[in-house]
Parts: sequence; structure tokens; C-alpha cells
Amino acid sequence: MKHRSIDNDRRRLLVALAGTGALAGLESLLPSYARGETLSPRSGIAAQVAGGPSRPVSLDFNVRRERVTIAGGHGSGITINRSIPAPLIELWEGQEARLRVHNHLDQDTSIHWHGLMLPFEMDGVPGVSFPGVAPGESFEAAFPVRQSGTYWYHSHSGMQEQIGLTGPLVVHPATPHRIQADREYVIMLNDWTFEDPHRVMARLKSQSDYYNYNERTAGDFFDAVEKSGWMSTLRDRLAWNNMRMSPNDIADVTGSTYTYLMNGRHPATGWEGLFQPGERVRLRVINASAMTYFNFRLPGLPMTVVGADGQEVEPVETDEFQIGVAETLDVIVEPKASIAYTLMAESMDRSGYALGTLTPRAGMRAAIPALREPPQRTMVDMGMDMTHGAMGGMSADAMTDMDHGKRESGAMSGMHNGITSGMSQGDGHGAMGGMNDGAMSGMNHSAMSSMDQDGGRGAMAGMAGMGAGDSGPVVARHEPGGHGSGNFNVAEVQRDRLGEPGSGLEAVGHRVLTYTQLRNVKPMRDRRAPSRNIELHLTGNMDRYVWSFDGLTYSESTPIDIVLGERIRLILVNDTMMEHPIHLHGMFMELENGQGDYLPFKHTLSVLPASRASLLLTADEPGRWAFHCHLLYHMEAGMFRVVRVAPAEAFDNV
Amino acid sequence: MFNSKLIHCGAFLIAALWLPSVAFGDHHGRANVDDVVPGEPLNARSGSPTEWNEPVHDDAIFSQILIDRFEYRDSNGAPNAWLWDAQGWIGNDINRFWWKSEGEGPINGGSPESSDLQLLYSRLVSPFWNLQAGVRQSFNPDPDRRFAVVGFQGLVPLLLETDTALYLSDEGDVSASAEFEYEMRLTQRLILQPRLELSASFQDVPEYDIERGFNSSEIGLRLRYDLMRELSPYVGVSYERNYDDDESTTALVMGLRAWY
Repeated sequence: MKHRSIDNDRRRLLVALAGTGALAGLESLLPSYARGETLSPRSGIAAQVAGGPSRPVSLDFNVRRERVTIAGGHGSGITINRSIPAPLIELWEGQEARLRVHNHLDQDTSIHWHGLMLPFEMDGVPGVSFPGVAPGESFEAAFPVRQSGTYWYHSHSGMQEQIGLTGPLVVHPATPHRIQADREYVIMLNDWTFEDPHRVMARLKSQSDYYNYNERTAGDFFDAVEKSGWMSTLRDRLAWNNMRMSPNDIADVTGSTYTYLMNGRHPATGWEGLFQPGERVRLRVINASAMTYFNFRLPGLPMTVVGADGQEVEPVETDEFQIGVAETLDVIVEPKASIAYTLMAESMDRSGYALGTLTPRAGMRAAIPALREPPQRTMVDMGMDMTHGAMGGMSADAMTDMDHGKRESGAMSGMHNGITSGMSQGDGHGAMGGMNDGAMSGMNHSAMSSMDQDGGRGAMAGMAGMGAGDSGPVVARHEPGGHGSGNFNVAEVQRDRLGEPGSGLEAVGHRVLTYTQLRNVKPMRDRRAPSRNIELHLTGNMDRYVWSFDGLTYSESTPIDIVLGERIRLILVNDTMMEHPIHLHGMFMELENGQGDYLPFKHTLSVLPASRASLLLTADEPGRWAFHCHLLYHMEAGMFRVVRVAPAEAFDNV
Repeated sequence: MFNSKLIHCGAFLIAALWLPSVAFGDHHGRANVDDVVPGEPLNARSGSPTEWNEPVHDDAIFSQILIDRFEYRDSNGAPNAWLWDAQGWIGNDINRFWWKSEGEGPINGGSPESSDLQLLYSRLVSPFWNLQAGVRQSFNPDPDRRFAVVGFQGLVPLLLETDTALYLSDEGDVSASAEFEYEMRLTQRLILQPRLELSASFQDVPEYDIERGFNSSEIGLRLRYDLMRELSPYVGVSYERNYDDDESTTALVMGLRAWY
């Protein structure tokens, strides 16, 4: 019985692939399971996008709990059609999709089609859009496909997303892309743990730094003393300890339990994709991990970003990008030489990496770059006001020293306005040139000298670091109030940080993508001024591992109601010192990133610590939509709301 | 059950190509506006029917049992002893049931020199502070003593773990205790933990040989190694002073910290 259904799944998948007409000649590229060599559940997906003629798609997804060979070991995971990650779905814009979920688990399941616009009942969020798929039951999501691009799908039930239920989803456009590629791969990134995710959550609730094996130690203290002297080191330690926080708090769950996967392959084997030199290759990078931000690069090969969250953007060339959880980015690479290139996806806290190779010949490998130094949080991330002596006795000196001179100093805060726009847009190599005289003179001597001491990086690297990584301007201050006991920090000063490359990428010596560089290819359709602002603060109590909006967890909240057709501005203020990838289901938001009428669409926005970001939204999709932090354990700990979009009368009747 | 329902995907694809389009046209792939706020009783948080499960479980019950100290004490000038200091909680993020127990006794048998159990209700009243209230039963040396307890447990600035409490005995006398712990990381797994414990009485209690003022203090320094976060053997020293008897003891300690 069981075996028959394995065969069925496998055969149907193969038939589906063969049906695209693209399998011929590409068979050698497919993972062995897709060639039918093994029928046991395993990790690894066929990452090549097959394409083919536009057609409606009807697929079955069998959800099972089973033991899989994954991440260099064996563990219990949740498979779809016997695979972790779940198989690649290809849909066609303008056609219909019928996606059937069959639950073979002993618990409820669900699949959310992340980034797709569809009737909310098909959105797959149990408790919001539908009741969920009970054990033994099936659910069909049937909807016309109204968009194209790179998306993904995942369970929205319990913690199933952490243990395998994620997969890539590509929608082919009705009209061809402006930039055609000879070859397309999805690059799906995951973080895998052999632990029960409920145990992970329990551990975080008991000890929130449980997984952090990069805390500051006595050794670091004496290093700092040697570098900056006793007084400033003590002041720095006292300042952080006084706030009861750690500057080394980059990721809640780290490589101490995670193995990072690229298309289901762990770094020891790596994922491999073939190319012919001279070909144009589209990489559809999907961060499908539960908790991990990645820094993605192909050393020696520049990337041209052409899509963000599935939506087309004006091409922008870069060398590296940081991708938040649940975001997708489409990049084009054009490897000319007949050599292999490493795809390096380093976790933001640099406790590990996912790995792949683009190669002209199977088995060829390129050098794997070493993990770089873990980044540290700064007073900017804390939202500390550094201009008005609110530092509790910390001098500008201490602050500069505090972070190896990497990121900020009180003395430099005067520079922000002058340089961020020019420098964040420019390429990193020319960062010095982007700095105007005014900005230079705004730096006082103590800031300069401590940069000179920034051993190893050299003065130039230090400057580039400041330029590319210097924090955006202060755009608002926090109003009185601290959002209650569920929140333990507020961003006193809130910065516009859309021009920043992300934590740890300020001084990497090459170009790094920023949000301000994303420019829509299509002008804004809805030019009405927003009728109102909805301001939400991202809040949390790290000590208790409680996460919330405005200090209220989901269970303390009520829905956010928006009248159908209303144009609103959503303002997100991050009061915490961590990034949060905030995801709205069902509708794209337009990120106000300074691109005029060409604001890029986003379904997930990574909001940097102590920053203030705004998005425009035309609420034209009626429904109950989930709105949440896409860090799995943050969502499950309460950072979740329901957004309702309905005609005004509907709300009046409640 | 499902297998019978399953349709061969390839065949389905081909069939679908020939079938007329399903009528999605009415709302252009959008939901019916009337479905957003249904008429039935609604879950106030999600706006969904009340019988549906919650989308996230942020009110889930968690628990922890922490044996902070379970140690052997090699004392100079006093009998060698063993000691436990444990606590645990169960509840959601805000409201918890909390218990604490401490005891000490001679290693060569005999009844413990001291032991007690506290049963407390704990509420998170500010980001770093639990207000706790409940009862404390002493088993040794005075099995009949009961106390009402009110205290604060939390993290003070500078990352000092703090546990303070006031006790009102069933005979009306008032006493207080305070504990402070600090964790100094030498490496990612080797942790030096200074610890200070104080107890004081607000009046003389001749029946139990307690004098007004500070009754005892203990300063400890423990070096522990996290085999994993939950399991850490340690060694250390402890200096204890009893002001009522004007005695002091120094002990080398060896023990285990564990939690789950």
C-alpha cells in the first residue's frame, strides 16, 4: 500500500516533469532520486526550472511524517511527495492552478502559497483563512494565477515549516521576461535541525541565548582593553550589561543546532548546478529557512538583481546581498570562463553556511571562502540617542571603540544625511569618492583615530565600511511609553536604514545590495495619497522570548481592519535590536525607498533594528490575511496579527 | 483511502488542457467580500469562526525545572555536607506557578540541617521582573514554621540575577532574604559565577535564636562548564558567615547544575 503510493508520487512527479518537455537532455542534472534510482525519502530537489508552454497546472501533494536522510544524518521530517524540501512547483500566469494537499500526518497540516495573490480561503493559514487540513483529509487550493515570479510554499501549521515542509514555487510570466536566461535554477535556502522544534521553542523560553555560542567572553574583554584601554572597555561593558542585552545577539537559533541547506543539500556535499560558459543563468534565490538570514554571494561573479519577492525590478548589479527569511531575489549571472563558482550563503551570525557550486562540468569545485567575523550589534541597533548625552555616561570614544570602529560613533552621526543616499547607491569600491567634504569635516578626530587603529582592515576599508555601513539618518523619535512588560526596549531614535546593506556587511570591500536600490519596472498604479497611516511597532522581550506588535501578542490582539479599496501607509518601527522579516499575506506592499513613482513591491520586508520603514498598500484583496514576523519562533511566540480587508459596512456590522 | 482518489497527474494535466476553464471569473480570483466577516460567532483575535484552531499558540504553557546547585561541600571546621537549591515554574509568559526549594544536611546521614519549600504565584510585572507571592514551609530545623512570602525575582541592570523576598512567619515575625548571581563567561562554555546570599531579620526571635539584623551571609564563587546548556558540572568555594552564632565556615564545593 505504502509502496504503491511512493511509486505513484514518484511517477506523477516524473510525468509532470516529462510533461514539460524539458526533461530530455537534462536528466543528468537532476538529483538521483528524480531519475528514479531510489525510492526512499530523502533530501534534495530538482532545482532546474523546466519551463515549457503555458498551461493550467493540477498537482497533488502528499504530506507525510517520515525518517529522511538529510543534513549528513537521519532525522524525522515532514515530506511532500517523499521529498525534503518539497518539490518545485511551476505555474503559468493567466492559467489556473489546482493544488491538492493530502494530509497523511496524525496532526493538522496546511500549505501557504507564499507571495501568491489568491482568494483568501486558498491562502492556507489555519485559523485565519481556513480551518486547516485535518489528518486523513484533503484540501484543494484552486485559483487563477495572476502574477509571475519566484515564490515558495510552506506549512503554516505548528512548526512543520522547520522540519521540511517548504518548497519553491515559480510562476512563468504571460509575456516573456525582459531579460531572458538560458538556464534557470531555484536556490532554496533552509535551516535544518534534528531537534524537535517544540523543544527549540521550550529552550528559547527557558534561556533565550541557548543557541548563542558567540557570546562576549573575558578574553574579548582583555582584547578590548588592549585595543581601547580599561576605561572605554569598562564603560562599554557596563552600558550593555546595564541594558541587560548582548551585542553578540545576532541570531536566536544558530549553527550550533542548524545545518544550512541549499536545495536540500548540506555543505559537505553541496548543491551543484551546471552551466555552459557564456550562458546567462537566472538564479531564483529563496530564503525558506525558519530563522536564518543569509549573506549570499558567488565570489568572482557579479550578480544582476532583476527580481525581488517575485516582482520584477530594474536590473542592478551587485556582489553580495543579505536576504531576510521568506524573501526571494532573482539574480542573473553570466559566467564566461569555464571554471566553477561557489555559491556561498553564509548565515548572518556566521555560525555556518549553505553551499553550492555553479560549474561547467559535474564534480568541478571552486574554493570555499572562510566564514567572516561575526557582526555585533551597536548602539544604533539599540535605537540609542547618541547626540544628546542619553548614553548614560558613555562617551563618543567608547562607542567608537565598542564595535571595532566598524559602524558608528557619536561623532559620525552628523554625517548621515550627507552621505547615505550617495554612498549606499554607489558601489562599495568607490565609497570614498561618494563622501563629500562636509561629511569628512563632520568627523572629529577621535573617530578618525580609532578608525586608523582598526587593524587588519586598513584605513580605506574602514572608510568604505563607514560609508556603506554607516547608519541612515534619524527620521523619528519614540513617543513616551514602552509597550508594557512584553517589550523591553524602545528605539528612542528611529533611523531610515533602507540604504544599509545589513548587519555585518558594512565593510566587506565590495558592492552589497540595499533596499534603496530596488526600483520597480512599472510605475505606481494607485497614486492616491494614503488616507491614513497605520503605525506598528515591532516589540519583544528577549528575556522571556515573547515577541509582539505594539507590545501585544496575537492572543492579546484584535484584527487590523482596512476598508476594501483603501490606500494606506503602513509604518513599521522596530523597537528591538534584531531584524524582523515582516510578511503580509495576499497583497503586495510598495516600499517607500525613495524611488519616486517606481516603488518596488514587497511581500516581506526585513526591518532593521531601531529603524522606521514605510510601505504603501492598496487594500484591493478582500480577506482575512495573516500579517507576521516570518522568523518562525517569533511568529509562534506572538508576533502575528490578522489584517481584515472588507467593505466598510462589513466592519460596522460586527 | 487517498490512493483511490488520486488521479494520475500527467493524465490530469493533459485532460486539464482540454477542459473548459473553471469559472473563476466572478471575482477575478478574489474572494467574495461577504466572506471576510462571517455572520457566525467570531474569534476576537482572528475574526474567524470560533471553532477553528488558533493560527499561532503564543499562549502555550511552558515549564522549567532548574537545579541551580546540587553539591557536595567539604567544609573546614564543620561536618562535610550536601546541599540542594532548586526551583521550577510552569505557565505562560506572564503568569506562572513557581516553586523553590533549598536544603542542606550532613553527608554522614541524619536529618537535614535546613530545608524548605516555597509555592508561589509569579507574574511578570515589568520586562525583567516577576512579582512573586505565596507560602513557604520550613521542614528543618523547625518543621512547624510557615511563612507568607512576597518577593521580586528578575534581572537587574548589569545582568545580576536577583531573587529577593520578605517573609512573614505564622508567629508574626518578619525576615528577608536576597540572592544575587552573575555569570562571567570565560569561554563559550566555561562560566565563572559569583554568588551572594543574605538573610536578615527585622526583630529578635529568641525561640529560634534569631537576632534582629543580618543573620547570615554567603559568598560563593563557582566555575562551571556547560557540557550542554542544560548540564554543567562545577567546582567552587563558599564562605558562609552566621552572625547569630558568630561562626564562619569555608567550604570547597563540587556539584552539578542542571535544568530541563
